[in-house]
Amino acid sequence: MSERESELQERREEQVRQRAAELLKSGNVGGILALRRIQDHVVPCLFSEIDDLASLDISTRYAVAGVAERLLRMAGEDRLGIVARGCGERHLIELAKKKSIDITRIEIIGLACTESEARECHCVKPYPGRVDAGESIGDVDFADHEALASLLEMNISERRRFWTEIFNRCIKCFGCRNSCPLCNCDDCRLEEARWVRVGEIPPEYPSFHLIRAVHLADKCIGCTVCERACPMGIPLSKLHQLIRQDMKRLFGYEAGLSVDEKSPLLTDLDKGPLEVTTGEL
Amino acid sequence: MATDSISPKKKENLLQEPTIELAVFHCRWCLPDSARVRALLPDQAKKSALVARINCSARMESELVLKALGEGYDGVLIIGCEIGECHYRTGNHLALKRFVLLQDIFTLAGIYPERLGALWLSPFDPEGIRKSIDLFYRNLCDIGPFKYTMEMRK
Amino acid sequence: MNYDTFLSVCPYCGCGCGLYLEVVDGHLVGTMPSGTHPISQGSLCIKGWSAHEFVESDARLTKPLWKRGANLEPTDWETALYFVAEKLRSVQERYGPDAIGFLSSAKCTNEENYVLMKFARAVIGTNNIDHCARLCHAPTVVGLAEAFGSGAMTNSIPDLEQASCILITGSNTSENHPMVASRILEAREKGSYILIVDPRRIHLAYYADLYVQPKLGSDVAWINGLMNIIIEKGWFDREFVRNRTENFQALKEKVADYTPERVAELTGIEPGLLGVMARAYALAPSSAIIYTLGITEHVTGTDNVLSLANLAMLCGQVGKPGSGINPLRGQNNVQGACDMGSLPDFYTGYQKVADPESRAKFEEAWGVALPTRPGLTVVEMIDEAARGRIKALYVMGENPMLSDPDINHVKQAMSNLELLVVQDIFMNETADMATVVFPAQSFAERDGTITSTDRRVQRIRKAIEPIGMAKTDWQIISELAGLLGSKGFRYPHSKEIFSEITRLTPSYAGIEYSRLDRGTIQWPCPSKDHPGTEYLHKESFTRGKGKFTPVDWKPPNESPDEEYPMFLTTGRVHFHYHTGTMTRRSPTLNREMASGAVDINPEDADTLGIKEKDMVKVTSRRGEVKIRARITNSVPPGVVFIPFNFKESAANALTNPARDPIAKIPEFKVCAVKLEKAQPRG
Repeated sequence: MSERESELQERREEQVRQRAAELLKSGNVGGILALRRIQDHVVPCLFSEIDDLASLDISTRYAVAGVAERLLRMAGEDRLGIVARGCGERHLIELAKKKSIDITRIEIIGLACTESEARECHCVKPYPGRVDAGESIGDVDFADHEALASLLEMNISERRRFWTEIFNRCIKCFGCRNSCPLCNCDDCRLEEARWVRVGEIPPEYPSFHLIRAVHLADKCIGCTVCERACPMGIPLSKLHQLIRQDMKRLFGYEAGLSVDEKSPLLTDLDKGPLEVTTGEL
Repeated sequence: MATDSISPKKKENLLQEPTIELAVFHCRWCLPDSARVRALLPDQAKKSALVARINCSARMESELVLKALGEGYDGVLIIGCEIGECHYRTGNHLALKRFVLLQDIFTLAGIYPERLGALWLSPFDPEGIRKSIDLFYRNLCDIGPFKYTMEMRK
Repeated sequence: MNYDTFLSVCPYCGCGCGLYLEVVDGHLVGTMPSGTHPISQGSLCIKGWSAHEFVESDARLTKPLWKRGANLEPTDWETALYFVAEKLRSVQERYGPDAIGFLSSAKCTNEENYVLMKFARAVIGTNNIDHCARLCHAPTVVGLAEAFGSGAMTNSIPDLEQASCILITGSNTSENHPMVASRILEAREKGSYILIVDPRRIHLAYYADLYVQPKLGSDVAWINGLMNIIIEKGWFDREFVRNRTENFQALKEKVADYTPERVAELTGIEPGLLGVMARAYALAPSSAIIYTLGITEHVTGTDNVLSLANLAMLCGQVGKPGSGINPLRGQNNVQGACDMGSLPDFYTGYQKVADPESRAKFEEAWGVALPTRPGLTVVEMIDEAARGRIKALYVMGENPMLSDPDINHVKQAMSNLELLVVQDIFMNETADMATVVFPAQSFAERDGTITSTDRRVQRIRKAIEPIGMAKTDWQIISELAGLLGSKGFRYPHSKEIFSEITRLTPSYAGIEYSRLDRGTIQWPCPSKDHPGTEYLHKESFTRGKGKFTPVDWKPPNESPDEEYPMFLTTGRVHFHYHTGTMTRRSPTLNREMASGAVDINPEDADTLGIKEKDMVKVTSRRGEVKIRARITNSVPPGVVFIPFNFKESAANALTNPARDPIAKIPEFKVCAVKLEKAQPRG
């Protein structure tokens, strides 16, 4: 990092700390979920004392929304402060849509990403709704066009071969699902022997990967943690990105923008609510 | 894959003379009798087809379709009520949207979207239904089997 | 509400992935990969993601147990420790110190291994200490020590990505060392040539540029065959051979016998393929060899390792990045257990017991005279117990009743003992037979260091309070030592034990806890400002010049015959770890695989009339096993595979205890069996 960049980094960190301290002082939150630096590594941590905030760190990215969801479930009525980047906020919005969290219990400390951070994640919206630290660079397009184009240029057989070969590497670590904040079902379908045979490496094709891809079609916000968690280098986020593009094209829908925007897979053809009749059977 | 459980000779035979197998999920409101549905299938598909009744076309989830393909069926057909005719009013809206999404994701993953078919019925027209299913099946025969299509490297 | 994360190391395999233990209000709720750790780099395998599941299981041992009648009954620490101390003293007085044996644990920390071996040698006075490395990588330690002077992995896991050719043999890498497979795939993306030689068509074979399937137990033959071609075509590294090795002439003469035609006969590998393999390996700018138990668990295990070492030295593929001989160690701390001298003939850092200077050094450090004769190995201790010459066994974190070969023999041996002490976190097949059971702490309840396969020393950290009355392993041993009159075990914390280790072990001398807090360190690290060593033998080998040891192919001890017409080979599965004490108590892993299966080739299945999931009876000269069938092409016709992780279908009821004469490792990988469909009961 250049000197200017580290200056900016420190300033952003300070801004986060200030806002975190404010929230803790106000007594409005039971703790702040953020990253902490312990010697050489950075880990998620729940800060409850203002003095501890000195070790707060923003140098890497963790999908803490998943941790937040678990903590909120265990925390009674407490509210929680969270340091969230653009992706973090979108995670929380999607979780709220699913009714997995009550968004009114969350106080977001918004962190805007720098250009190099946005590029690294192939982001298009590297800022949250409310920015407390850093300066938003606005909407950008750092999507991995090369990789996406090469996939779209393939004909169907080439694509079949590409994905089957790649999925064949999978060792069923569940890292993709474990690291995704939006993969939080108590009864995960991927774990049911009925849909995916157990004890096989690679896991059953096409069930394992495509069930997940379909289930996330209306929820994925493109944070790319799944791909990072995969030990075998499967380019998951590319598939999810292509699906997101098609969700836009087919249904005019983009995940993570507003809690009130319902997924098209949960509305009727006129975007009204799906009916549930209790008629005679 | 690398740990296929059939011998190379058997696999060769399968690829030479593939038998195309269908999985059919039919809504209990528009077409409740599975035996009748089976009778409407083309002769080659009749015996080996999976014919399962579901409560509404909305019950057709991606898991059913993907598992069917994984288990060796080469195409999945869903039979449901026409829009406006659904017993639950908007169940088939959901089914239609899912159908569109699944076909799209198939295309992205390299699976022929034609492996997934849908028949939306209103009046019961056996000849019409039989013809549509036949068309779907013949198309499927052109595409070929799902499971062992991909040439392995060795 | 409290949420904390602690950086620790996965307790399962030798990859040594850094992970965070997530603790909410004092309970272990999950794990998360460390993004900055050099091995895990943000990923974990399913075992790593489930590493927390067994820790707070209801089945954890919480109290010491004492068998006073037919059953083990709970008691308190004072009683249990006192009893064991008295009994040890009694056996020592009546039969001598060598009537007591110690089995140390490759899952326990370096500190604990050190303390146990110090106890065995300084307090009891015997060198009878060994651990499960005997059953997996003993040939590596012996063979590479012979060839290079050092028995450890020469390169590092991250550095494997730089290899332009990777030869993987006898290792089901993606299932047993996923982080290494990850690097292999990355190297392949960058254009590396992947060469896999394995009697089973393993998962990774799909990604090989060349996959070769040799006959079981024929490794020396094909390796010599490669060297034959390499020498003949002049593809070897003349300069390296001239300047850095000795005994080349003898090697050249020996491999001259292994012509491609002869090799084809012995191994089933076509001569043409052998040539392709030889060329790829020899001429690549940097070639790495990766191997595990498919190479070592044979009666010719040491010979196999020596052959690989010969091959690497011949082509100058040692002592530079992306090359070398890389044995992937199994347990999370088996490398450390070896480094700490839990071996009958070594002190820490491979200083020899038989060497008067080394012995004098330890005698001075510990203030006692030490036994001079090297002790017995694991399998020998069991044999001697069966013969009634070993009267007491102290087993820490091991389960020989399931992991040793010929377990019916092991059972008989254990029944003969006057005292069997088991120190563990769960009951297991061995603990069932114990006189006293001590409850120990899991990896999440204590501090310490472990050394993963690429010589990487790292910290494990206490995340939760101990379960029940469990104590750390080193605490238990220290208290016993105190009861037996020793004053050398007064350690306030594992940190002080580690300092003592580093004072006595040159390769660890520069490592300390404060340095380990800032990252992992690969030994040798001789001084406090030394950064650690990524790859070995850069300028010279540990012994000076590398030594070629010509070897001849010898057949496996037991091959199929009329009565037992099929080969049995054994190994592991991805979802479970070894004897399953931890993984079979983890819901996620158990869900994936609740029981074992025998892998049968489809052709053999057809001949025997066996279908998928049928119960099959597998019999060998040692015993029989009933297990369900799994039809797969991964085994060739004539070979079946059974994983050893499941006690109800224990592969080791069938295996052959015949041993490698030098390393004493049993031949787990080859024996003869017969199969038949099991008759349904009733």
